[in-house]
Amino acid sequence: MLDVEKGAKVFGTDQRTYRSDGQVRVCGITKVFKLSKKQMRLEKLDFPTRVAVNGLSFTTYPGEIFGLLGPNGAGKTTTMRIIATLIKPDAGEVFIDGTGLDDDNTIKKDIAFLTSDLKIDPKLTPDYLFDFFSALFEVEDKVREERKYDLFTRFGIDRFAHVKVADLSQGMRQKLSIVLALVHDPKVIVFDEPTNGLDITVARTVTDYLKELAEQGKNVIISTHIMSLVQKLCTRVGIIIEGKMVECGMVSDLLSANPGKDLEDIFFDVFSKYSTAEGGK
Amino acid sequence: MRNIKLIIKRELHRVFTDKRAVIALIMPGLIMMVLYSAMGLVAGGTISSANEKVSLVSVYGDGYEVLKQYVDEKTVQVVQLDEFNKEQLTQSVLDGDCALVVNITDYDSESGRIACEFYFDRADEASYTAVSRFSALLEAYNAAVNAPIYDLSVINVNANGNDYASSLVIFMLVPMFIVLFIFASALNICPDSFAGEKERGTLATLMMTPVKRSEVMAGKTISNTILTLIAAVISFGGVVISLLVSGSQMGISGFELNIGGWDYLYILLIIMGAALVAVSLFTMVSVIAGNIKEANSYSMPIYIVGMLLGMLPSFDITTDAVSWYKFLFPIYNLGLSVKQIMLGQLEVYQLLIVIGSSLVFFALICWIASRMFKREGVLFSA
Repeated sequence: MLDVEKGAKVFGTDQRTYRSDGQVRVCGITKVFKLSKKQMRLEKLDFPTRVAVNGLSFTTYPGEIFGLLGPNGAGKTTTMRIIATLIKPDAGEVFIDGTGLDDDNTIKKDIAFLTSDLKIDPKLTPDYLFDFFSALFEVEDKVREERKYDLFTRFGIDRFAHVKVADLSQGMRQKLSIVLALVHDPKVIVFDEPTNGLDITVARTVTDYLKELAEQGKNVIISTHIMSLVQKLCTRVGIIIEGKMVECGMVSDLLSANPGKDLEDIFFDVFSKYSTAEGGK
Repeated sequence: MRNIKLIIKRELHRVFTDKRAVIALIMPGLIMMVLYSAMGLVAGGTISSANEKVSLVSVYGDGYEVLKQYVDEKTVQVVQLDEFNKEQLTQSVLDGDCALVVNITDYDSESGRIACEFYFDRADEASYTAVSRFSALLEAYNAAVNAPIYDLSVINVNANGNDYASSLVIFMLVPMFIVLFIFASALNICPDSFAGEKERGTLATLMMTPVKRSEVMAGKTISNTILTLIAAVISFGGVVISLLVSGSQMGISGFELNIGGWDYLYILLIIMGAALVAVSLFTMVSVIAGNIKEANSYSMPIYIVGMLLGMLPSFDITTDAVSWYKFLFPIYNLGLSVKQIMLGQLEVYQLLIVIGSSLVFFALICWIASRMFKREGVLFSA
């Protein structure tokens, strides 16, 4: 059992925010970036460092879609990258099924990370890429072929399996990114801005698939600043302001605690309450 | 090891399934072959010595009296011999005591016809110059008497040496072209491997798989090395063909470049050493840079310095023995060893120093690049 520092207000009756039985446990993580002189000048800062995440904690569970909400620069992407083992926290820890991120090669077999920052090689074909990533994840040949067939068919990639990525449409590339992230059938899917840059039809395909993954028992964590998406998709939500988790709980509890308001109204109330730029705490 | 193999396979697949990348890979070697052969053809017969010293020529035979008036004393000093001892005179040419020995074997006072033999050292610049000057003297005599004049046999007394004039051009140009094209090939391949992938966002995707950074580093460096070595071998083919073409075209008739099978093997090994040095340097730059443009801007000074280093030994046209430690410096040793090959003076231990220093340099730079690649900021910054 791990005691974590409780920094956020837990609303409603949800008591799961910091429980130690979660699948993904983010425990008081802090990340400080060093800034170049150019960055300091651009961001008008006096110190050569910026605190991206400050003592952040939360827990997520199998079968749920957890939304990280926050304005630009709140620390959502940094948090996602830490969970995805791409960067290490300066303080705090993250556990996936009880395993710390120090053993990142084991953890990576359980995680899929999707973000618009991660791209696929334009010179290669979907078929080649699927085989390549499957090989890196040590997926058996038979399983790989079955999974490839299922995913390619579902996302309509089968017709373009041998076309170079450079020749695919933007939407098809996005779908391929999702497919490639799932070659190893991960338990946890971390998705930074899942519908960012997608047209309405592809966005719908993605959100439907995320729901389906959650129904299959996968643990889905998304970050976004699109409130309608959170309201439609997420079971629970955490609001990050300036690197800190300020509120966390069930979406239904949040809405029922604020009658007559939608999630966007509630978010702005929280933002003005906690953002130092807005004169908050 | 399995992951490294997968990454190597992917890197090679990316290149060999892309026509443009394949063309870019073989193009430097082809350009080298065409350009260098063309230069050899153009240079043929136009080479003049830079030696401004007076040529000391020993002449034996009766006909010299008629040639005497055509001797330009500012450039040629003639010593008339009373007897012709071939062995002794040949040795004096090899020792540099005399630049040229001219044996007038026949002189017909009625027709003015002269037959003579030149004994010279093809590897010696002074000897080469003396041949040129005495040939000019015979030409002048020929023009004056207006008759079919002389039979001339040009005999090289140094069987092991290369033709100096051809060597001069070649050892000045070969290192430059080798550095130019090897570095161009590495510059074409390496920046894309890390900086290009970072720019496209595909490196982060790769890092999301259970593959260690050291494996990515090793896989990419090995594939960069394979591709650059392929380019190096193609460039080597270009060198061989151009040497064969230009070797028969440079210098005066009957003078050929004296490069044998071992010399070609040495050149191949030296080229491979240079390829390793280039790969390590440009891979490290690629690791540091955030995008291809940045990588290219960092690489350009290395490229220019590399070219200058490669050419530097060629400016020293003396044929004195070279100290072993000079073969330790990467790229500089490329120019130096090619020059020594052209002069027929490269020793095996010197070649081993060149290869060894290239391997050590490659390992050292790759180790530094690997340390850099493990830094978090290489992939993500604030």
